[in-house]
Order: sequence, then C-alpha cells, then structure tokens
Amino acid sequence: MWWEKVLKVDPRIIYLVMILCIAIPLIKPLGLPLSIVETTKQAFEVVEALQPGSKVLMSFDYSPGGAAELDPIARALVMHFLQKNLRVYAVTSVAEGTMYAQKNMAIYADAGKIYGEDFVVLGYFAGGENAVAALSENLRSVFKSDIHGSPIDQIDMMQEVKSVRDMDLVVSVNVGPGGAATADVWVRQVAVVYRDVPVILGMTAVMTPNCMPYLQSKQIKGLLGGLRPAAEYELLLQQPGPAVAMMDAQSAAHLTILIFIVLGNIAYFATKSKDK
Amino acid sequence: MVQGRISLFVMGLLICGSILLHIQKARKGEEYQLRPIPALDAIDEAIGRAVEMGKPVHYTPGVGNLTTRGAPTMFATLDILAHIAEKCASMDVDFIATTGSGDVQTVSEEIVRNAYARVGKSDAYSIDKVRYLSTDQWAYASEIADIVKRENVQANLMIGYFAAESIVIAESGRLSGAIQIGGTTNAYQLPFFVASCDYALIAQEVLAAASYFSDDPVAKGSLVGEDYGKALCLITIVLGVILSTLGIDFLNQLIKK
Amino acid sequence: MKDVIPVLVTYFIGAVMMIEFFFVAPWAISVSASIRSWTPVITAFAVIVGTVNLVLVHGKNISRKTVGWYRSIVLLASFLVTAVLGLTVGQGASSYMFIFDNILNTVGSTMFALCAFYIGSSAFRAFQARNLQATVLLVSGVLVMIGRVPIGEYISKHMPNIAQWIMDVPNTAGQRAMMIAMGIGFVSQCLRILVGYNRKHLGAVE
Repeated sequence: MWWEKVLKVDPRIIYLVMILCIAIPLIKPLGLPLSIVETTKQAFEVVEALQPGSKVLMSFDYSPGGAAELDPIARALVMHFLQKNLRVYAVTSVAEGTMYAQKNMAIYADAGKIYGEDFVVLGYFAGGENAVAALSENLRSVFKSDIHGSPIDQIDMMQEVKSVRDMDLVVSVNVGPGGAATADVWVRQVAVVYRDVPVILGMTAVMTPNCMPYLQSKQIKGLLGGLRPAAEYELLLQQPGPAVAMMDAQSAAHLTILIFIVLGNIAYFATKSKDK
Repeated sequence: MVQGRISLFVMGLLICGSILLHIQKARKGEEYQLRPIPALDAIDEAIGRAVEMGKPVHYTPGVGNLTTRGAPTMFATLDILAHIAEKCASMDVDFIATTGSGDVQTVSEEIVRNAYARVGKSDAYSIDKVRYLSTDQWAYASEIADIVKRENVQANLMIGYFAAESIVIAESGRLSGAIQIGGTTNAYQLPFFVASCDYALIAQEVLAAASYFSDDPVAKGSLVGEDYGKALCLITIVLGVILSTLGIDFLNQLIKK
Repeated sequence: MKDVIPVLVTYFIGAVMMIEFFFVAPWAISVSASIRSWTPVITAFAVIVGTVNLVLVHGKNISRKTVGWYRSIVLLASFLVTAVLGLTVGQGASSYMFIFDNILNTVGSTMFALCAFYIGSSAFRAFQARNLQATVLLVSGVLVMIGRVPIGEYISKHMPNIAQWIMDVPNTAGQRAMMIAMGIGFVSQCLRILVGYNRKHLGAVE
C-alpha cells in the first residue's frame, strides 16, 4: 500500500528534493576529489603541443540554454589558449553565440592582448553546414568584416589566413541540434576534409555518447563532453573555476537520481509481489 | 579522383545504385514485405483513442528545417504529417500540428490542407490546425507543453528532429495523461523518448515511416535498397574485423584510398 | 511545369557538389564555392522570413484575441525593444547586455535546467527492472551516471574506468550502428530529392 503511494508520488516532491540536493552543495561545497580522465588529457595535450602564435579557429556554437554547461568548457579552452599565447579567430553559427564569443574573448583583452593581432571576433555566420563548408574553404566568402564592422582585409591577423588549412587547430563548443552547425557538421566539413588540421569538440554531456565514435576513429583529436571535462581542464590548467565549483552539485544531483531509481525499483517489485 | 575518397565513391555508387534499382523494380510492380514497426502501428491506435475520448491529436516534427537543421529527417516527417492529418480528418477528430521553422510551416500548411481535401473534409480545415511556434527550442517546447495541457491533448505524437527540448515536451505530455509516441534521428535524445513515451521510433524508423504509410513504390523500393546497402556495410565490417584480427591490413588500406 | 525547374536546379546543384567532392575538377570547385557562398545570404533572408512570420502569427493572435493573446503582446513588445536597442545602441551597450544577461541567458538556462527535474521524475518511473533489457539499461545507466561524477571515485576508484569502458565499447558500437543506418537513410532521402522523386517540399500532391 505504502509502496503504491511511492510509485504514484507527486512529481513536484521529486523536483523539490532535487532542488535542495543541488542547491546545498553549491552553498556548502563538499570538496570531493576529482581525477582527470584520458579524454580530457587528450584534448589538453593537443592544445599543449601548439607553438606560441599558432592560429585557432574557435566556434562558440551555443545559446543561453546550453551556456551553463558549455561556457565553462569555452572559458577553460580560452584560458589555455591565453597561457600558450595562441591567436584566436572567434566565430559562431548561433545568433546568441556572438555574446559568448565576446565575453570569453574579453579574457584576452583583460590580459593585455591586442584585438586584431592576438584575437579577432568575426561574429555570426548563417547557413549551418553549408556555411561551415564555405568558410572552411574560404573565410572571406562568409565574413567580409568582423563584428565591429572593420573590413576583414584591414585586420592584421587575417592577412595570413585564407581557409581552415591555414589554421593550426579548430575548436567548436557546440550545443548540438539546438544550434545551427552541430558537432557532426564540423566533423564532416572540417575534420574529414582537412585531415591535417586537428579538431577538438566541446559539447553537452548528453551528446558525448553520440560523438565517441569520432574520437575513437581519430577523426577528432579531442572531446570535452559536459561539465566534468571542463572541471578537469581547469585542474590541468591549475586554475580551478566555475566548473570545479559545480562538480559537487552535479555529484549530489546524480546521487539523488540514483536514490530515486532505487526507490522506484523497490516500489515496483513490492507492488508486483503484492499483486501476485 | 580526390585521394582518400575513392572507396567512399564506390560505396556510394553501390548504395545509390541499389536504391535506384529497387525503386525501379517497385515501380514495375514488385511487391515488398515490410516488417511491422509497433510504434508506427500505434499511431492509428493513438488516434483511435483520441476519437473515443473526443480530444485532440497533436503532432510535432521538431525544431529542424528543410534546408540546414536535420533536413533529411524533416522531409521524412512531411509524409508522417500527411498520414496523421488524413487519418484525423477522416475520423473527425481535432488535429493540431506545431512547427518550429518558417519553411516547415509553409509546407505543412499545404500538406494538411491537401490531406483534408483528399478525404472530402476541406470545410473542416482551418489555418489554426498548423501553428508556427518558434525556432528557439525552449520557446517551442514551452509552447507545446502549454498546448498539450490547455487543449487537453489525448494523443501526443512527436516524430522528427528533436534536441534537448524533447524531454520537456515528452514529460509534459506524460503528466497530462496523453498517449505518446516519440521518435527522432538524434540518437542521444532517444533515451528521453524511450523513458517518457508509450512507444518510441528509433532513429532510422523515422525515415522509414513514409514506406509504411503510403503505397508509394518509390518509398518502399528505396527502403529495400537501403537494406541492401546496410547489408553491404555489414559484410564490409565483418570482413574487416576478421582480416584485421588475422593481421591482414588489405581491407583497411583499401578503405583509406 | 512549376515543379520541373526547381527539380532541375536541385539536380544540377547536387551533381556539381558531388563532382566537386569526389573528383579533381577546378570548374566544379569554383561553381560549388559560389553556390556555398550564397547559402549564408539565403539563410540570413530566411531569418527575415521567420521574423515576419512570427510578427504576422502573433499579430493575428492579438487581433483575434485567441486564447493567451496577451502573451503575444509581451512577445512582440520584447522583440521590438530588443531589436531597436540592438540596431541603435549596438550589441556591446550595457542596456543590450542587460537584456541578454538578465533575461535571455537566465530564461534559456532555466528551461535547460528543467530537463534535470524532468529526467529525475522520468528516471524514477521508467528505470525499472521489468525485464532483462530494462535491467541492462538500468545497470549501465547507473554505472555511467555515478562513474562520471566525483562521488563515483569516492565510492570506488574503478568507477570512472567502468563508466568509460561502457562509453567506449558497448555505447560506441551501438552509436556506430545507428550512424551507419541513419547515414544510408539520409543518402536515400537526399537521392530521392535530388532526382525529383520526392517533391513534397514543392507543394506537390503525391
């Protein structure tokens, strides 16, 4: 009887328990240890191997919905690029992505880097997969000016760049189908076509299983899926930040769901045996 | 030819050839038997349930469009929409279709209007039957959640191109008591449909739907042709595994050409 | 006749793109580069079409006072304010950033966060060991969920490796199979569109 009530519990009670379990570790962190997994080290080493002055095409393909999970990944990567003195060409296939591109590239500006020499924000490109194919072949076919309206040929760091072939790394931090150019678009149009240019993908945790085949077949050289790799990346940089701070809350959330699953199963078997 | 794409070209030719060959065979009258897909059969059951309860049927093809986002999947959903609209029109049950992009909206309006006309119910068609919500996935999902609750939808059919909003739509529908059938080609959204829906179409079953709903020989023939293509891939994989295990690199090198 | 020209254009463009991908043909490279450069322009116009559509739909809701018409007023007002601000003071201005940071960002994140609660309630109900397949799903889901967070390591140092093995081996195998099947399905869809068998998008009644 009691277990039947458990099975039919009002979902709002579940929501309330979840809110509490997520909020409490955010206010009072537990400090659980975090190890670094191979996939994160792989992505880290790709960036680490680049020489100062190398060129990175970074696409901030996420909107406000995915920002909570993806912005820490983007931020960690930009911090690493800054440490390595890399030159960043920021683009986005999502209209709201320009805001995240500008926010994250402000890290470069705050560190004294010069716009147009060390970093440039080219802005939003419409057209999804076709536009990724077009800009990979010839950046100028998609961008005539940067986000501030300066003609592209007047920007110093654009002089030596024509296509993705001139880049040393391509990164897409991607929200998936909610955006325009999904993660597999970058695999199809960049990783497969320009095999000499390494590609790193950042994505939400839910997309990671889908993109593991690309990493295993070495079509992409790095994959950062979700908040945990962002936290691990911050630890590798020795600059713990927002991702590390959120890991305890994520642990609590997962544990809460596990408890719900166990309760649900106990209730199911209890009511099943009672029916028999 | 471009280096590294020769094997891809050959595989592509073989697969496309198989598809075109079986389309021609189907057009000449060859009959093909398709295995039943429970989720597709359940669509008629869901519509029947809505007729009994006197409540509306809701169908949404997701946030894709016909040009960039999930275009092949969205084309497949047009056939599903035609079938569902025709079924609802013939059974006199209220039908609501919601879309997440302008081009899908335009085509969907035409399809639903034609579906109603085909069963002689042109008078029953109104412009409110196909509603454009938003291209933003969250605005789209919250609007659908509201429609399902407000209009007391009995059958909630979500088959198409979905992203993270799938769980919001599916759970909202479940909480309001609707019978739900979900399906998407985005494999990582499938678990949410499997968890929240009564029936789920898994990946390629969404693309196969047209073959089930129509007597169009093109659709049936292409499905058979695809199966031969899959068989070719399967043979290649098995051969590759055996040869690689034996230390023979021949097939690996051939595929890289 | 009205279908013939679009089908011919589709066929020509598809053929050129495929020739450019598979063959070394300079003429195909330059033609397809031109075609690709049109796409951002066409898609940008589609944004305008979508915007006009949105204004028309919600304008109609307001004029007809359909259910929830007041929400259409809120939508159109928000749209107007954001558009005017963006066009006049620019995206970098504090007023525009205020709207982005405090409204758009917050609302978008909130909606995404709802997924966590919905997943919690569906996990409670759906992850039941009803049969062998459901049990395998349940066990693998639990192992991956726990192995991917620090508490998993706290429980056992092998948890992250177990979770990674599930992701690397059975998951990747299943994903690859689905990718291959869907890839062939997409090829079939696109082939039917390119050769003109599928013309629903042109309004053809089949």
